[in-house]
Amino acid sequence: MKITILNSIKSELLKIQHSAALWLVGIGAIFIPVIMLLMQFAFPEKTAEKNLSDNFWEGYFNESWQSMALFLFPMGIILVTSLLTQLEFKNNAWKQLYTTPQPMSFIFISKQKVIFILMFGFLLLFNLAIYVSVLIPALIHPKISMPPEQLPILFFIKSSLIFFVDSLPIIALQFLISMRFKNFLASVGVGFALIIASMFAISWKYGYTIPYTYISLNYFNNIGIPRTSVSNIHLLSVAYFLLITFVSYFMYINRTEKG
Amino acid sequence: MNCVETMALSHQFSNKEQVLHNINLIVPQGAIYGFLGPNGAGKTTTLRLLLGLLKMQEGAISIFGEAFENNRISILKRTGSLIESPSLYGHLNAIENLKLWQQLYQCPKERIQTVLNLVGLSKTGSKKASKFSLGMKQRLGIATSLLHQPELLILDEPTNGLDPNGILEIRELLVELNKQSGITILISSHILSEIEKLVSHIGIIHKGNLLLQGTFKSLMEKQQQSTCIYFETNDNVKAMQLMEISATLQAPGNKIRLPIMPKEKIAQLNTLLTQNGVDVYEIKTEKNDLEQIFMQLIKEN
Repeated sequence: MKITILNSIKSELLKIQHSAALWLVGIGAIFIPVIMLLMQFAFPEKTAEKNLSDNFWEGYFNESWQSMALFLFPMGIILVTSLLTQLEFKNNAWKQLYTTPQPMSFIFISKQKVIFILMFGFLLLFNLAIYVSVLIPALIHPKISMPPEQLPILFFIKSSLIFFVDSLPIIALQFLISMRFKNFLASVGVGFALIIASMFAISWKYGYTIPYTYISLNYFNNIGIPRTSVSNIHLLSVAYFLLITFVSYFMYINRTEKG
Repeated sequence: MNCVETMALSHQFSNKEQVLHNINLIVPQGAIYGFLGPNGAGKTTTLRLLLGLLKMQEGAISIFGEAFENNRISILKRTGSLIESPSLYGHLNAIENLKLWQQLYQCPKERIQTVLNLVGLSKTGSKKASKFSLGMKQRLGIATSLLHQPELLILDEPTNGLDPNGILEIRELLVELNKQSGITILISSHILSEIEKLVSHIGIIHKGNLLLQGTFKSLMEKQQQSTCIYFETNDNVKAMQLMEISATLQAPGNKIRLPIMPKEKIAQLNTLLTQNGVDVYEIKTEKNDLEQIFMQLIKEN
């Protein structure tokens, strides 16, 4: 029977069960909403008032994304990507994987797709956790009620997808580094340094040239404090992603020593 | 028909060090081929080239009569391998580990239980692979390589780190697989005694050169030829004249060296010498074991 790319992806998905990458996605997605939930219990009067405000959900969504956009989401991508490739390095499994009867391209594509799946899962869980963090105080605390405004599901989906698009270059570059270097610290170190650099670069005129800034730039656009003159950073993000992925694939396929 | 054949296979790493020189490996169909050599001889490099883990630079590789370069996927479908340490995902149990390989080989799910029974790991339950002993890990690695019922099994030092009992178990398993399913096995080792009870064919590699290749029987004949008998007497000159065997030699330590002969003939020679006044102090058969032949070949090169 011929092996399809779907079999490769399924196999990669089986690999991540009980893995640190999966735990990180789960815990990372609920981390900020849990803090926000606790804040609501700590300040019930303020919460009750805020819940009645106009555009509550949009404001709450942007508030949830504040520290997520600047640091936690890019850092999460870096860790998840590194942990995923570490599964092969740590378990001496590259050599076994390369001797399976599948085209070399399947291994590359399936691994990248699993990162996408994990990131989609993260965003889905994060959005659910945002909703639940508002729902729980309203159900438990007598002073807090549910916001009268209907949950803007489409806004949540669209905004999350845009954040995902803006994270694509980070995924691509971290994937390249973590596939190339056995040492976990190499990919995490480079990624961490680039996040710090991007924090400074946000205020820089040409900050948009550093792809790690796109998530933050999008966040500042969302809250009405644009930090860039570039009209469409999302397109730039996709372009960077395609370019880095092409380079990454070229390097991967031309490796003389595999596993 | 040959299952594996390499033609003038050479390889060098980026540091310009030539690690393989014109290797012409021939593994016949249905054979258990012992690929022997000391550490760093080029065994793993050869096996990695056979599996496409290293990019071929010079020479050609043919497996199942097909060129590896153009038929990688169809060849790998019929090949199982265990290179160096086993590839196991430590956070998964034995079944979970095999499930993900089953997905890639597209073999029946029932094979998972079959191979676990075969290697004696069917009762490991939810125990994570990282908690397995070295022997258990090695056996799970072998189970992975057998999952898709390969026709060729390439094993690189599969008994590394195993205790004598573990070595015996693996040996019995491989013999059984070869006999019952006709699997061709190419197994590397740096310890001859470990695989001499297993192999039908042998290849000895040293410093990237294939020094010897052939059936195990031919190696045994070589061993037979190098076996000799030593006589120690009080008068070697007279003894050699009496024996009338032209091939007799004066060996170091003032002993007479004779080629191997039936024990009746040894007794006759002993009687002949004592009846003619030659005192015989010692008669000793010295058998060169395979390890010595192996070491001898390596020393010569």
